[in-house]
Amino acid sequence: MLRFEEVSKSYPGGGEALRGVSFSVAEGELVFLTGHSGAGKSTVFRLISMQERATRGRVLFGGIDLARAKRRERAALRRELGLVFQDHRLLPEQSALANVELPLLIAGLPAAERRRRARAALELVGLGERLDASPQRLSAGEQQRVGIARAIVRAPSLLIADEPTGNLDPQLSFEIMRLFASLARHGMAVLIATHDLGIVERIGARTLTLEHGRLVSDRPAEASS
Amino acid sequence: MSGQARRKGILRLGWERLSTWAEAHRHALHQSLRSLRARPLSSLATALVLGLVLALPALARGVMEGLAALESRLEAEAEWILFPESKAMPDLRALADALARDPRIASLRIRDAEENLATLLAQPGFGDLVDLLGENPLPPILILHPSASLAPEAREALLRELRERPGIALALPSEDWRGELRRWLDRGRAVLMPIGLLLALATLAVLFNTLRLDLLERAEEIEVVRLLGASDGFVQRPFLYVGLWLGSAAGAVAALLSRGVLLLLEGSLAAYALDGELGAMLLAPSLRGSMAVVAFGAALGLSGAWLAVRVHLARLP
Ligand SMILES: Nc1ncnc2c1ncn2[C@@H]1O[C@H](COP(=O)(O)OP(=O)(O)OP(=O)(O)O)[C@@H](O)[C@H]1O
Ligand SMILES: [Mg+2]
Repeated sequence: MLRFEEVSKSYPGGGEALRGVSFSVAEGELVFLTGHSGAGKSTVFRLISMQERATRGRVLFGGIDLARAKRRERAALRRELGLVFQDHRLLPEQSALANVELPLLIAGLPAAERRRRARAALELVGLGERLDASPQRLSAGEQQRVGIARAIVRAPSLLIADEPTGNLDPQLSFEIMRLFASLARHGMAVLIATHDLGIVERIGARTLTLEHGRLVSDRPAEASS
Repeated sequence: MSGQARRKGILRLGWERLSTWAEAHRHALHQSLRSLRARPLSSLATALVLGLVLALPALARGVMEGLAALESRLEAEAEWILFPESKAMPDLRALADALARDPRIASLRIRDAEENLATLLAQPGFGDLVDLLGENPLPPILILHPSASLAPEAREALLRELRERPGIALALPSEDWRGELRRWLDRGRAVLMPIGLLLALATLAVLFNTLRLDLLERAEEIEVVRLLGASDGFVQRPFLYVGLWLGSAAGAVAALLSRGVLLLLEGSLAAYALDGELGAMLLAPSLRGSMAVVAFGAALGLSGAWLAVRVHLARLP
């Protein structure tokens, strides 16, 4: 599903954010990505979401080298991705419901179908009551959950989430992680960057650890999960 | 799969595509109206200013249209005047009958001296002429219309023949007039075309800039939509609609303004005792002309928006 092959990334004017990182994520697999601040977690996300290109090595999604994808192909690949951004990236002028409908609109679904699915996704993250609120009138945690609903509403084959629980209390964080785990059980590949080692322990899924851009450990899932 | 089932399948696919397409356009339309409504004053001001800029070419276009109509009417109504020699006066009727039998002449009539005088007296300033002259100095004349189907060379030939014909002192064709009018038309076009083009370019530039600001303001939103997998078409459509609305509104303002100015002009020309019907034809801006101005504005808006979006998208990584 997703494969990093000896990937290095250096930003112009910056140091090397990733150095020779290799790993892969299979269908139906839940994987955590941890590491100190500045370790390169968001860089991994920016490479997968094609906001950046690898300096060396290859990032493959569904067998396609992302650095070589044409414009049109890139858009099509992104429609297979679910993205949760560290800074939410909601459209401020539109309601929570409209924000969650957006990926479905892009996919060309009819209005009734969009509404039904978006409502269901918002209910899944516990926002069934706040459909019409605009992001400015939502708390940081609520905004984050709208972002999560938007990422899962299209049932993507790969979900990547950058600090999806950064603004949530421990109980809510745990429930969101459980939601991700259940999506993975239904066949979605899920990659989650997080600082929250407590939750990583509790869920017990496979965990990748970055340190100064190097992958220093790849700990498999505990049997219990 | 049976043929019928396959046809059904294809139909359904076609329908789905159509509804997807319609859905995307509905959304883009909605977005564009919202973006205009978000800044009603500046949208209105843009449309008004561009309307003013476009009003001049629209006005020029209207006048040229009127002149062209006038030219073609004159073409159809070419009127020649024959002055008989004084020795031919008594046989004027016979001369007229002989000429009327010529198939190259569509119609011919005699205008007698009284009628000529009455026409002259109708012109302002000539009222005292009779008192001055005492008796009517005007000869009767023949007015003829050459057949409209005559080629220019055949006309020339006919005119030459008439001039050499005994009994005719002078043959005055209206062609001189038309030649003059056509030269004026050509001259007008030569001056107005580049000015119109420049003003259209200015409009295009303003629209481009307006849309560019709009795009920059929504850069964050565009990025998010693209990250969610939107095609370039999806991203650009709302902006194309905004351009279309602004351009059409500017075109409509220009059409209204130029129409208003032409109506005013018509009023003042009527005061100059110009043949009323002629004046109306010269200046009545046709509905088709107004629609053309609106369509031109719309095309400018669409092009400006398209350019702005292309530049914006090309700059994205
Ligand atoms: N646009 C950029 N230009 C230059 N350097 C950058 C850029 N983005 C990130 N970096 C650098 O790359 C390194 C990795 O950054 P990254 O954002 O991937 O870290 P992170 O693991 O997501 O950190 P955090 O947990 O704080 O979000 C950092 O040293 C950072 O300074
Ligand atoms: Mg980060």
